Amino acid sequence: MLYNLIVLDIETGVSISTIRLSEEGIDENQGILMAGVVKAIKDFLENLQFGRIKEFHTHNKKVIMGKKDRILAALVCDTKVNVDLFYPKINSIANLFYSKYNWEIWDGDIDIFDEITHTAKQILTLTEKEIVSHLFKSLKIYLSNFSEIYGFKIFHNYELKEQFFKDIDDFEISTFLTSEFFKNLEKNQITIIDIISRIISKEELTESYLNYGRFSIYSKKFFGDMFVILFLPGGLNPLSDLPKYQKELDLIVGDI
Amino acid sequence: MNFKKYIGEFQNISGLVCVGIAKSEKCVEILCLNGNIKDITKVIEDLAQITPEKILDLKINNFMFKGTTHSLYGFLEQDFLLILYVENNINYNILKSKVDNFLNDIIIST
Repeated sequence: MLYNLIVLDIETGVSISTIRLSEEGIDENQGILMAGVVKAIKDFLENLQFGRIKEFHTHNKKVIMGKKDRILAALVCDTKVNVDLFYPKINSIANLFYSKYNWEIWDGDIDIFDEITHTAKQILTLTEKEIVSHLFKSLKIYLSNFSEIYGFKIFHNYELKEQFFKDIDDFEISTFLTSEFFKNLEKNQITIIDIISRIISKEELTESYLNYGRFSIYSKKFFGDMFVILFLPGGLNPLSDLPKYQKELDLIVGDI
Repeated sequence: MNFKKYIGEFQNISGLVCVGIAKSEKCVEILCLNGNIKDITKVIEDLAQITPEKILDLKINNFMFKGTTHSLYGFLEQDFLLILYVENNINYNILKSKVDNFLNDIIIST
């Protein structure tokens, strides 16, 4: 979860903007204090010759920092948030604030930043492409840890966005996995999935597992309408064997 | 087979809403432990549509569908389908042990 984005002028120490990104985020007054804390910690660490500080952690939060000249942007977020995804965005925001105004003649008026604040919020929102790209990379690493997994597909709005399969010796399985079976999930809804989905339609279906004997399919939905399908060996017991795959996948998604 | 006896084995599991056994397009035994009986009966009636025959056509051995609060599990052994409708916070170790016992007994008895 993202809590706040704090932008400050490190030359004067003035807090330029505190953007609240969730209910749990701090308000503007606390943001002024927080800006001071971020600057102090950053200066302290750099004075100790730690080099340029990209992030620091508290016991349950993380601060990711980006800088352009005298402008420092700091994202306060969960420790699980992926730095590689957000660091370039925070740098862009610092750059945006820096390039938008002539800081040599800035009189300290922070009301002029209202419009740019809105843009900064938009920059922080992950695009579908960014999420899919990150998932794809993470899932490939995940596959290398679980040699038994055949591959995966990533769907968004029932459209296939990415897929990856290992070289599989078994002809029957490899044929099925590369078939058109999953091309249009809407059409394939008229199957057991559809019947069962309707049965528990009172609540949103978040995960499903179908064991076809020689192989099985586990799908997990997240971010509303995106889901990942893992192609697993057959013979898994959904009560005892599935949790390890669920847990790992949750970590990957939680990372985003 | 005395399905009542087998299904009774699930009786004391906290978080189990309903357990049923289906065979040949009909539900042969149901035990509802929680929730609205009418709702659960509807679930089992709908589930009876997913006959073992249909599941065999689809070549599915077992399945799991997880919602935000409840999950549905199905286990096929011979031509019997064991259906479990459970709360997501159920103790899965206890549930698995009961399911294993049931499936083993089916194998021995048929």
